Amino acid sequence: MLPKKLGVVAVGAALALGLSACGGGSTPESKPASETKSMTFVSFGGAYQDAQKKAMTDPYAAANKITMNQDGPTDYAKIKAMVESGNVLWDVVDADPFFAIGNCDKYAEKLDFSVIDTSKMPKDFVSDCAVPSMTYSYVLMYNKEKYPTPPQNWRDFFDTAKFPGKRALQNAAQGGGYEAALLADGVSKDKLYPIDYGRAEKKLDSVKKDLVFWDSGAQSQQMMEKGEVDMLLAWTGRGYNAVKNGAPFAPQWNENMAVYDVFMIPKGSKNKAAAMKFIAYATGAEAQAKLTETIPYSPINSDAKPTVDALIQSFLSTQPGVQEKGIVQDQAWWAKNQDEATQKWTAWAAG
Amino acid sequence: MSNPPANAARRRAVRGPAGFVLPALALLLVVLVWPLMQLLYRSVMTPTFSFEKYQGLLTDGVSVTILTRTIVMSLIVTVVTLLLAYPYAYAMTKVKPRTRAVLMALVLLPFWTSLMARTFAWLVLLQDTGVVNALLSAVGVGPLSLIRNSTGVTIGMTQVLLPFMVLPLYSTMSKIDLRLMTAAVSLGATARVAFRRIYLPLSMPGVVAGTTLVFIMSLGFYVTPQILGSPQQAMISQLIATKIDRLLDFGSAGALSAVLIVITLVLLALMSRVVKPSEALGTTGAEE
Repeated sequence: MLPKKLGVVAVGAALALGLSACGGGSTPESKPASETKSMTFVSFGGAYQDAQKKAMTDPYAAANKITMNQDGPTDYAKIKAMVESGNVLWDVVDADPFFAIGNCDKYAEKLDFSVIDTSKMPKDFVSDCAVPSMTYSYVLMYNKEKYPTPPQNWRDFFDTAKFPGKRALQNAAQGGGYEAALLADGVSKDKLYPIDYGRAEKKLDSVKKDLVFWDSGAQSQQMMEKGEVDMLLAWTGRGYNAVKNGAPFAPQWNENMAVYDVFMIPKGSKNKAAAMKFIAYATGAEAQAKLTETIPYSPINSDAKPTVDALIQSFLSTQPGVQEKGIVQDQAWWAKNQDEATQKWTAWAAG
Repeated sequence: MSNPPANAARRRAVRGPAGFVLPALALLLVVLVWPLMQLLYRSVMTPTFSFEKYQGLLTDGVSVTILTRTIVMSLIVTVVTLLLAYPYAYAMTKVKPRTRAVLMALVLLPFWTSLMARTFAWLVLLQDTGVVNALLSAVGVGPLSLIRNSTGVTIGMTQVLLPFMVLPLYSTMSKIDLRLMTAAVSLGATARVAFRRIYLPLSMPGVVAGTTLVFIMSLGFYVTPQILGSPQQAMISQLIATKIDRLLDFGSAGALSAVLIVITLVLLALMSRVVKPSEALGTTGAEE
């Protein structure tokens, strides 16, 4: 899930936290978990964080007699400013993998895998400073009424002759647009990385006049509900919401891109030990099942068996048969190339 | 004849306000000036002193495009706002006080709701299946693409900025002695000539103040182009946000901010040569 860009970015606030930036570096000793009486959980806000509160932080707080403060939304500039100023106020953050992986041991603490059990998680999703917090997919959603013969893959998404109509992508380098364009252009699933920007942008240019962009998940949902576009790349969770609200859309799982959020601990958290314990709980089978029962994101713990209705089930990226059809976005590559890719994408989209 | 108590009162009045603005100034110093200095400092310390970040803006393939577009977009919005506001402010000087109060309230309406709420309202009104397009279709025009393009951004920004054009214009126009127009006409000028030679020049301080204010404010818009535009309408604030929250490149963001600040200061300096800042804000406006 990408940071919400709507709303003025609190640049001033972020920098104000970094006032004593020059003195950063000396990390205060983290106390033992038993001494932590309260810590701060940060996520992307909205329905997602509400669900995490219900499934994860509330039960954990009750069982461990600890206060779990909620803050947000996740803001990487703020994490940077906090770490640099040596005044880290956040203890557990739900983040994009690229940030935690790319800044491992710089802005993110190394995780203690003697406390956090990763054996039930998808191996690709685990790295030194980040474990998955849930998973979902970028999926091609199409209007069933407009296209009785559904688009089969990203090649069809880019075929405006066979499938006329407006389409939408997320306005973010890592939003799946590059991968979709390359798959459409005939690049095989295992040859997507490193991203060939030139080739991808040429493909993207070919539909630019029929293309609009969404920045927030809410915008993508609105596009489906108001019929503003005929097909789009959307997050499965937003696809579910739109369909539940009556949008005549359906997911095409072919070439879906599996992505996930991670839990990370900002470097220098004063409650590091307690934060590890919380992450161990939040990635456990019980908390993961409860999360999926509250919001249609898929569990990352293979023991989690959520009880959900058929519609939610149809949007879970962990349902049988879906993973084989798709790809997993290469978070290690994205962590290394986030800056360059963002500059390329911003320049392309703005041009 | 000197009047000592009155002089003392005046002295107090002068010293008093200075004390009254101190808390506000202190707050600005802490929450605005200091972080701003930090941002500017980061733009030249990379980590040793250099203008690398500024050179980077020229070569990153996007900053120059977006800066140019921001200026063009701001110019368009300024012109549209002026064309709407000039007759409106003129009408305000001609009507009865009660009607004027209504006109004033209408122009101040944007201040009564949050920018976000208003921008989303425009989104709902202007979208392909929205009210405006339904009306346009009913009369045989459209549906037109009114959002995710410059049209949407112009409409949204114009509404928000209208008060900042109307108020200085009204402030200036309300002080123009309309008998001058009568005199000109009685001396043989046509109404058009009288307007061009008498009224227009006298209203110029308001025009300068209004256009400068609106232009400067346009430069910093974020929410409106973000919601009503597409990436092809991205303005400089959005680029600064991307540099901060995606690239964590505080240095480049600082450099871009510095460019924006310099443009603003130059414009303000130019304006202050034509019109006093206090007049620009309408604080000396004649209210009846």
